[in-house]
Amino acid sequence: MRDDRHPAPSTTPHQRRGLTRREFLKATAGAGPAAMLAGCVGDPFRFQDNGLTAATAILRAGYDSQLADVIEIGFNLVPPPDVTNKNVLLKVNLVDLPRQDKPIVTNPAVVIAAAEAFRRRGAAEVVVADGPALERDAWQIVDAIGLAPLLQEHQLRFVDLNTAEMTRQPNALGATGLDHLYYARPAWEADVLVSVPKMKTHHWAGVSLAMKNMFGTLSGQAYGMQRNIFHRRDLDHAVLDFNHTRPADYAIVDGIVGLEGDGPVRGTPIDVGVLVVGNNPTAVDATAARIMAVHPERIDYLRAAAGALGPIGEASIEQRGETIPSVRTPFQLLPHQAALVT
Amino acid sequence: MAGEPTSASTWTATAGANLLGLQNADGGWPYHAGQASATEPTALAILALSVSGDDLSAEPLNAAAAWLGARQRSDGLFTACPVHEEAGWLTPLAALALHQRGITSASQAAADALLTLPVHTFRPFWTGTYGYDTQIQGWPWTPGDFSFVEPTCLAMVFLKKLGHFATPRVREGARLLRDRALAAGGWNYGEPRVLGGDLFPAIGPTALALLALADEPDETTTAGLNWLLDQRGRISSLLSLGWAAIALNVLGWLDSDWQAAVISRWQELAPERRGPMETSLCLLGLVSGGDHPLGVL
Repeated sequence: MRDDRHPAPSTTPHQRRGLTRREFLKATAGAGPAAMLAGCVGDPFRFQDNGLTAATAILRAGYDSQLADVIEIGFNLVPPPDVTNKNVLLKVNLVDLPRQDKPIVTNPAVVIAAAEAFRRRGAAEVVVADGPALERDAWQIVDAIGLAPLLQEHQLRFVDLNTAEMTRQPNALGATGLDHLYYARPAWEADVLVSVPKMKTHHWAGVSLAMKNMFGTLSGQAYGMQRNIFHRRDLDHAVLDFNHTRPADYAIVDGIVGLEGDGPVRGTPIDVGVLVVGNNPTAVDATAARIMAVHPERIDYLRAAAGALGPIGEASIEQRGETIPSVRTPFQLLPHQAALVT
Repeated sequence: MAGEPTSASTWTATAGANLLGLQNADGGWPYHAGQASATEPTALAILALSVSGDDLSAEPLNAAAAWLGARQRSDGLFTACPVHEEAGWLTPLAALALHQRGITSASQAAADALLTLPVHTFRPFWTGTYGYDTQIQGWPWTPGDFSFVEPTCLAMVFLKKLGHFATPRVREGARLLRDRALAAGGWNYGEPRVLGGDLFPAIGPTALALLALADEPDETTTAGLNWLLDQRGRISSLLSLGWAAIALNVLGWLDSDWQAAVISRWQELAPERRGPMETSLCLLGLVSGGDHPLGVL
């Protein structure tokens, strides 16, 4: 639930709620990454990658039996951390019960293929997890999308992060003004945390990709559904806090069929036919945004993450696999987000 | 499952024993077997075993009440587990459980805190942004935040249980629930419309709203009830099925088909999908006779 946010994106984003821009700058000034952030929030066009570079891979893919092989190709192009004998947690995006066949969740085929690909690399255990934001009953979603029998068939465990044990951790950035965060313990303690979001638009944030997907790693017990306290304190600040405190170690964006228009739950399907993978979620999101024909530097949290969490500039991100122009598929955004579109 | 359907009384005994077997040594119940105790499953287990258990439940329930009582803060609100320090949305459920055990000092302190709990309201910059009144006060997930359906319902059930039917804050909560109902019937987490588009009803919030408004039916609750009844056969998870059964039970609509659905689904699912929270909800769904712990009729 957003607050009284002005629908025009050209307004000063950090005056919308919680901290004013001045308060945010004061709160974040003086300490490493926070100081870097302070220099680039607010201006809707300027960003600095501060010399950071990363690589992402764009892979043509379909929801078919070759998907694990495709992800493995992605791993070869942009390697994930060593998962040998480690526990991997796939943080998927289940958000809500899909209605009218809208592709609002990570497709089960991608979930299973990602698990298989990590197993091939020697992972001791792969678990699938989320704490859906809009529907408290995660299993109702898991059943509805046909994921439950696949989990059983592939001997994968699902963890409901809304009811998992919690752990209290210092907030590494503090952009929301909170000095600590309650994480779902399985997400916090995973040896390798992988963000596996759906490529989609978001009616407040612009896009919902690997970084925003980290919302579901926060404890539903502590914050309740929607984790609305973070929306009130500014959704973009929250995304930055989560990604500073416990960033994903790898990202696999399900862009085979995306969601455009009024995302994250009311939009319409759009065929893109790609996965975007990489070991820097900021760069992955910037690349995915470009594929969607969205300016990454005009997404508030991406602009603020640039130079601290990763690069967002096209020149700073080495594209492997397919090129952006070859797969670029403009997503429709809502009228108040027209300035985000390239 | 082959063979004769299990009777409700037989299943209640089985599920009650299963629930007792999952109690932790510290007196609380976890969400999932083998994990640390948490407020929500402990409160629900107390409510379920208080009405469906037998004499053997007395000692475990006393231990559970002690564990739960230790989660109450000096301001009367409850935390979600020992790791959690802030007050949260589970206060009404925890207080209701302690009230059920006759610990009225704890429930009264919680009621006082809930009746004065700060909640955020605002006037939208654009009136078209939200399809509901953002200035009505219900209850939030976390103190000082915006109101949502589920915490509002839990607070209303608890406060009505303590007799606060006409208290202004409770009346305001009822007004919020009617304002947040979806046009087609039912409720979701609390946004019937956003940016001009209709959103979708959900089982848990609809069941909770029907419980919160059980004593004051009108066309909104009728539409919600009809939507919930239409979900027969479509609910696969015990969390939703349990809440649906509780609401239908309290409202007098729980027929033998719904009962059988709860029992058979509980029996079908693997143990990791029917933890203490789910089992407690199913037990509360099938409570027969008397004053239901979540009923405010």
